[in-house]
Amino acid sequence: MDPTRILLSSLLALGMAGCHKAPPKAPPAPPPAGPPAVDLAKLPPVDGVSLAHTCAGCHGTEGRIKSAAFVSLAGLPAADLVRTMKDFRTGKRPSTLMGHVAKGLSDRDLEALAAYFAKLPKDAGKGGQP
Amino acid sequence: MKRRDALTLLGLGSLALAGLPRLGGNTPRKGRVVIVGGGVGGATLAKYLRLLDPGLHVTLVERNPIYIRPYGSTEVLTGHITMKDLDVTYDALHETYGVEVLIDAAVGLDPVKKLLRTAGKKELPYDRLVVSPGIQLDYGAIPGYSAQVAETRIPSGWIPGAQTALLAKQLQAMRPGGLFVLVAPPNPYRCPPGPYERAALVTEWLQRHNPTAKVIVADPKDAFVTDETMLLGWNRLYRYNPPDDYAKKLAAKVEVKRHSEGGPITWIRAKDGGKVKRLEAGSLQIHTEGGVLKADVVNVVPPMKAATLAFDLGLTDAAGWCPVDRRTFKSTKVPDVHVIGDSCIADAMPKSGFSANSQAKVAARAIVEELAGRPVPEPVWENTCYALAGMHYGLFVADVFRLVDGKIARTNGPDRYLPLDASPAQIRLGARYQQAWLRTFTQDVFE
Ligand SMILES: Cc1cc2nc3c(=O)[nH]c(=O)nc-3n(C[C@H](O)[C@H](O)[C@H](O)COP(=O)(O)OP(=O)(O)OC[C@H]3O[C@@H](n4cnc5c(N)ncnc54)[C@H](O)[C@@H]3O)c2cc1C
Ligand code: HEC
Repeated sequence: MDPTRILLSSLLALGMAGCHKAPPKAPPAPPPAGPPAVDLAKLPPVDGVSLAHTCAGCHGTEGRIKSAAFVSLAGLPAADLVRTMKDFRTGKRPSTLMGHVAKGLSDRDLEALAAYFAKLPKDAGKGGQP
Repeated sequence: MKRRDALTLLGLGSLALAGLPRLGGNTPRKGRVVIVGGGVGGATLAKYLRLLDPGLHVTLVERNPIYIRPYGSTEVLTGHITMKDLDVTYDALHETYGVEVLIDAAVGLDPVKKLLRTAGKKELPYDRLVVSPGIQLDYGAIPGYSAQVAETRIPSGWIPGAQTALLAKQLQAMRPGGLFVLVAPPNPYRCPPGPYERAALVTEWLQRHNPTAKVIVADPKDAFVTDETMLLGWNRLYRYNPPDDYAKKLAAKVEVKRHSEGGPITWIRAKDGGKVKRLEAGSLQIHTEGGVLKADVVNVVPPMKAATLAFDLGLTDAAGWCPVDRRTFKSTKVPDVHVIGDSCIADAMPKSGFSANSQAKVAARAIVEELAGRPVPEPVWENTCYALAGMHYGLFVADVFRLVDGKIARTNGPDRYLPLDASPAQIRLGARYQQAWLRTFTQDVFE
């Protein structure tokens, strides 16, 4: 290839050659083929501590956070947490990503999580509770 | 090695190294954990070990006194934040959690005597050693590229630092109508949506400050994690026309605009000739399989492998990553050594800060329980990579993982991304959560 021949414009054109002409009338695509679904019920139980650790990157260490965006989970009544998570899972309660998280957890997981968070002392500061 | 001479010992460090008891009184012989690498993985582990068992003696060995966080570092390029905003200290780990922080570089180990050796000529005894040293950038993998070129002419910044600052300067000084090329890496690499987020944020910034400039992503791959939602964002924000196959897939679920004139950003995939064969640092010519790009500013995200330390300690496999037992993150190569974070092999988990944080907690529980002679708990992990297509356009991939037949597998099925038909409000919210997450995440790791 001649390095002085600058192919930028043709490469840009290449990039643009991808544009489709008219919005193609395709049938709704089937759900993307993921890996074979994992049967959560067949896996050994996980305890509340380990499950709660996975929430902490957003909801705070031990479920306590001062954030205008994320809520604390510490001290949340168990029944509320379970119900909210189930509502996220079914879409009854809209979410950006909690629906996805809830789909990765079993009912047993939700019970264990809820029992763990319910026992933790609430955030002493503000900004915590929903 | 940056500060071989600055063997700062913070606080209790010196006492601990002299073998004196630390917080919590008893110093059980089987309770000494040494961690190398005070990045996301190592810092989380140190904190959570002390939370789970205040009786453990935890020493964190890190070569730099200040951690420069990689997550969110692209915002330095667009002036949204400064380099200073990336700095994280170890003060809280030490003061709040009683972690002994030793600023020194690990250089070797004696697996029989169970001693970690440092550049500062220390020998630290351990019951368990945990290594979270991150990645190294394989600059030499691209002909014409090198560490020296990266430091002076074509920065990478994928391990943030002076190269990040240099790239910011170059971008801001780029001539009107110039071309910014981002060379994307092959799999596996740190932060899968990261290069595309960077290209997007640079494009957004250029639209405002250098409106005739162009951005090209030259890619050795044909796909990437969050590709559909990211390309849709580009379509809406930057008049980007996705390649036919993507346009078709997207159009089945959402309206894709067809822009008669394409916008400033172009993604050249492997199948369109995007793989880079070599670079000319002097002329900034990028030789791809499809042709030559004459750039004004170039950012290379080179191929990666486990950090040098992982090689030095004999923890890597032929591919350059560290094989581990997934339940405990124990190395399959060296006994009583665990490897977490970017340098370990974790199957379906991406190399991300969120993953490193999640792995650290699983390893912390395994270590605490094993040292106490109890069975290792059943693990669970989470990862969310938030990414921006623009400062107000948030997207993500979110997964939960379990141990299935000895491997780490996703459990949440096909729903992992921002839905393609997400409302404008959801998209704006996603960006807000991304910004909030940078803060809450840093708290969970370091504070
Ligand atoms: C631009 C960009 C954006 C990103 N965005 C996100 C995001 O939005 N979300 C996300 O989850 N992740 C993101 N990441 C990825 C994330 O930052 C990394 O995956 C994470 O930092 C990995 O953690 P780690 O502990 O493996 O390594 P690191 O955090 O790199 O820590 C390694 C530490 O080990 C130290 N070290 C290495 N060798 C030695 C030695 N011999 N002796 C002593 N110390 C040593 C280093 O100094 C370093 O402090 C992003 C990365 C980049 C580059
Ligand atoms: C990546 C960040 C992230 C992680 C990890 C995460 N969440 Fe959330 N959580 C959110 C966000 C964002 C919302 C707001 C709803 C939405 O948009 O998804 C939320 C909302 C919630 C709510 C509703 C709070 C209210 O307003 O009443 C609950 C309950 C909750 N999360 C529980 C959990 C639990 C339990 C876990 C761990 C299994 C978890 N979250 C993990 C980000 C996260």
